[in-house]
Amino acid sequence: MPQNVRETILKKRTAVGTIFMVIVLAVWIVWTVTPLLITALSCVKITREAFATPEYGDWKGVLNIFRFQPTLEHFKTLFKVEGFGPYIWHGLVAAFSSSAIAVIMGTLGAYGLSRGRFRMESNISFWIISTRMAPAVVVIVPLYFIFRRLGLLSTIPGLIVAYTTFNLPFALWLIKGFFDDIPVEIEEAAFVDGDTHWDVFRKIAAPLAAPGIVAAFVLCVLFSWNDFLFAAVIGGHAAKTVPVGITELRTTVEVLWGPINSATMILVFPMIFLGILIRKYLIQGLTMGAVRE
Amino acid sequence: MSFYGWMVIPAAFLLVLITVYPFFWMIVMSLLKVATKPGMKSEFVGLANYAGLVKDSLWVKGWVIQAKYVGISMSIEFILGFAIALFLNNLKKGANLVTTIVLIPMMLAPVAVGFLYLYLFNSSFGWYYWFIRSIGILQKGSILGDMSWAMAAIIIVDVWEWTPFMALVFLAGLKKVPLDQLEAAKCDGAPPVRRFLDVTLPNMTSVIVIGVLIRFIDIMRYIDNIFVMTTGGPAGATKTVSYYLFDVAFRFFELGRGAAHGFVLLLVIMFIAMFFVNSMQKKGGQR
Repeated sequence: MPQNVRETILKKRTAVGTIFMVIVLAVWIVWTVTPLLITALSCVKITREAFATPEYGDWKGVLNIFRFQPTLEHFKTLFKVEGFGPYIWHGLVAAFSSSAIAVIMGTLGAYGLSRGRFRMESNISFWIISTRMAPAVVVIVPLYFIFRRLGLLSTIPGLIVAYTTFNLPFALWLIKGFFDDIPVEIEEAAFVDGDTHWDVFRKIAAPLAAPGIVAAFVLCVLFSWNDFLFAAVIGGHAAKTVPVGITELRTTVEVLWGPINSATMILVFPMIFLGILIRKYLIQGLTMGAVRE
Repeated sequence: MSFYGWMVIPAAFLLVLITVYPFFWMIVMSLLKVATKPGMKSEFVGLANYAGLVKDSLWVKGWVIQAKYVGISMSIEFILGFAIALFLNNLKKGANLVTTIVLIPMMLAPVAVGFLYLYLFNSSFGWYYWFIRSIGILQKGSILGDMSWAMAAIIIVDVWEWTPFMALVFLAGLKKVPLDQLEAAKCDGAPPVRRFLDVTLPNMTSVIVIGVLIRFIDIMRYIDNIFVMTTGGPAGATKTVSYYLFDVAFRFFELGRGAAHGFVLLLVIMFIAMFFVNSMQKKGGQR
């Protein structure tokens, strides 16, 4: 439906209504951006400037947020003194490996589930969806027990397996939705032309579902990179990731706010970028395919 | 076996190994007193772990705190999310840019969000603390050290991070309301409020249920920002039942009791989720 038709139906606007709407949205944007802005600026300030809140009630003092001499001192501390480099590497390796496993197996499985007929199909579906309901802490308790016996605690492979516990069901279910949307007639035409099942999957179905597969991969990376509990309990010492590293910058003796703020920015910025990249599929992904934009 | 069967095998096999098998162990563990050191043997204790839960006052209190945290957060997110969705739906220019900015918080690691707010709420140099003191709501003391303010703080953080989710889900629903029905209602002379109640809302039932359901599941899942901001304190004021599980399993290292705790928590979440889904189906909503 053309945009202008939509507008004539929905919008009989009064000036007051418009102003109210703009104000609410503006307030919401300020509310959304402020925490990120303050922290982003703080990580390039020296500590004294980062802590320069004025007297209570001195509203002009708000400008202190923007008064500073840029410095990269905290990033230096973070990498040279605190040795943060490996944590980023661990996080990337674990996130990408687990996401690759989940998406490859998930794509194959999703295609099979979408096209095949199985006994207990509804039970399989229920199991896949119910994995999304399990809180991370609940999953970690038995995993910790099993991994301790297998010697997988505080290893990168252990972390990869742990991430796959939530990535695989997620990727499987999300990608299945994309295969379900492809009209079967397209594939049937190819069968008539003499293509094998595998050819049809490889040449027709998979390329058509490609946006969904990419979106699933990106979301898997996002969930894994952002994860804290699995990395803290299963990852432990030798497989620390960025979220775990940040929490350790807060010791009982002191809280290293400069490095913490810098590390927070390193943690969030790549994910904001990835999220915006797949923005179209974000809601579909987070609702496991139930709501589409 | 058919081609499709073979396609499913690798994923199914791995899924059984990494989800069904641990689930099975969780139930077994909940009946054991699990050994803390590799040399020791775990002993079978029957339902003692479950009985222990009920006797644990922190566990019982955890449910009350969780209910308060979940109930208040989700109500605020629902109302604000709906308002923002309505406004975004009516926005003529820049809707895309505004939406993109609005959705940023939900892509951030909950740990990062915890630290953003820990910094803002700090009593000596946090800007939000300064703001709250300056407008005079708070006279003295700290935010995260006060029992009711700490609860408010973790609610504020959840609202900041997840209201965008509600808003975008509702926005997707609003976009699907059939325009011909709205037009018909308008021609019949229905005022905007009636059109909203009689046309828009009924068409959004399924989207609303899904949004609330997923948000409920997720708020029960994450304990990261509580871990960063309050570690359940002060004096257990923010120790939700999900967070308390972390304490039981990985601070006190009572894995058997942790498994029982986790199993009950999982059952409750599933029970409530099923209730939601059933009520949606009864109302005749479709996916």
